[in-house]
Amino acid sequence: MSKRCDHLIDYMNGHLSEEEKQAFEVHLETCSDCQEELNELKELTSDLGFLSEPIDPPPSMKERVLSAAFEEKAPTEPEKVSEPVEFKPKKKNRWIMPTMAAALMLSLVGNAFLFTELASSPEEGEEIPSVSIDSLVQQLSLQPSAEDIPFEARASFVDKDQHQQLIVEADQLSQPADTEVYQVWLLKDEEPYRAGTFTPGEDGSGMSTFDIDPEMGFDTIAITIEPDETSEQPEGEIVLLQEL
Amino acid sequence: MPKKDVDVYVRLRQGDKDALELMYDRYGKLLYSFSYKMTEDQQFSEEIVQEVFIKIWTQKSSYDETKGKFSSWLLTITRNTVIDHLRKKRETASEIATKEMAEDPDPSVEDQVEWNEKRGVVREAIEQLKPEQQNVIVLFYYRGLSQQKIADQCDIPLGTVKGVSGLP
Ligand SMILES: [Zn+2]
Repeated sequence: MSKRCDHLIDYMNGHLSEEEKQAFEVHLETCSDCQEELNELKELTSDLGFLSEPIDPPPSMKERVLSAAFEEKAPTEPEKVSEPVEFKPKKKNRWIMPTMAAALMLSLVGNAFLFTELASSPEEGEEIPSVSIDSLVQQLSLQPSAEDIPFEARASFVDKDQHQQLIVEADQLSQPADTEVYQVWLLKDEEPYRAGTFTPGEDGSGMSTFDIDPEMGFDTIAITIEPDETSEQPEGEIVLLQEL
Repeated sequence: MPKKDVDVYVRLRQGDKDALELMYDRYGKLLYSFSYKMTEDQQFSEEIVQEVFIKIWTQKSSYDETKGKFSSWLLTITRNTVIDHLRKKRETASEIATKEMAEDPDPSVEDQVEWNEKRGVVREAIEQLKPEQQNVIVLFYYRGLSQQKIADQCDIPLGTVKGVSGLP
């Protein structure tokens, strides 16, 4: 990570001088850390504008806005404006991210509505540097158990007041048949415990949250496809199995 | 609804003025309210909305589905426009912070379904965060502050921030 990386927040918020900005953009083209983080921040924040308290614009504003626009030349063929390229996030690690990630995950709880890409995982098992935030304990990138299973999944352990929460989030899931569901398991010494159930949405993403007891010392996480949501023991195909 | 946004947008791009008007009816209030949340200045907010609508009408900013949801894209453009104006303000150093006639706007109700729904969900989510976490989001996202200022206001020792980000 170079010194330039430190400019990301200020780049997003327009606090760089013209030279710094250009230098950062050059840096951005080759720095995957910054590309990933920029994308993540964009995704994490993309719905925050909806939080705005509704206020009524002046009634005459519509007229002013529209006539100001119509005074400009009407659209022709869209110009190819060079906008920042979108990059796929993979990992990240700076101080503002844990907060955004926490916000993100909380907004996801019970509502698979927002972001398709979760603030993703650092290296396996690596703890996120905790500067101001202590709620996000660990994030893992989960690997499918076979190469022909396309999905991407992430697991996050978040400290709540009295307990810990496991949040599993996945994309590119294939639609299970009928009553089938994706079931998350936590294992300790090969003994499985149910740890969340989900079915994918139309876009193939899904998530579950589950309260866990951190004292249990689970050693493995698994996801299976179960015939329905009542399985007490894994019966179906294992799509993922990974040590914690 | 999202599908329809795209249809309206396609018409807009072909120079259909009604389409731009429809876009205003649908999103003018959201963008205005969002600008106000960032700037706390109604006059300024109107200028922002106006600029955003000029940008989409002239295709200075153009949308396609790779950019995610249309509404989120509009919000992003709006935020970028605010950020840009704030930067210019700082550069001209016109520290005339006296807001004339700075009355607070009357709160309103929103009938746009998507906004209503998301507002509830996002608010619920944010409320679960610790106050200092909420603060970071406000300072970073809505106020658009610099990293240094966020660190200062959040009492995050800059040394720690730099340590984490790999600086000496
Ligand atoms: Zn970088």
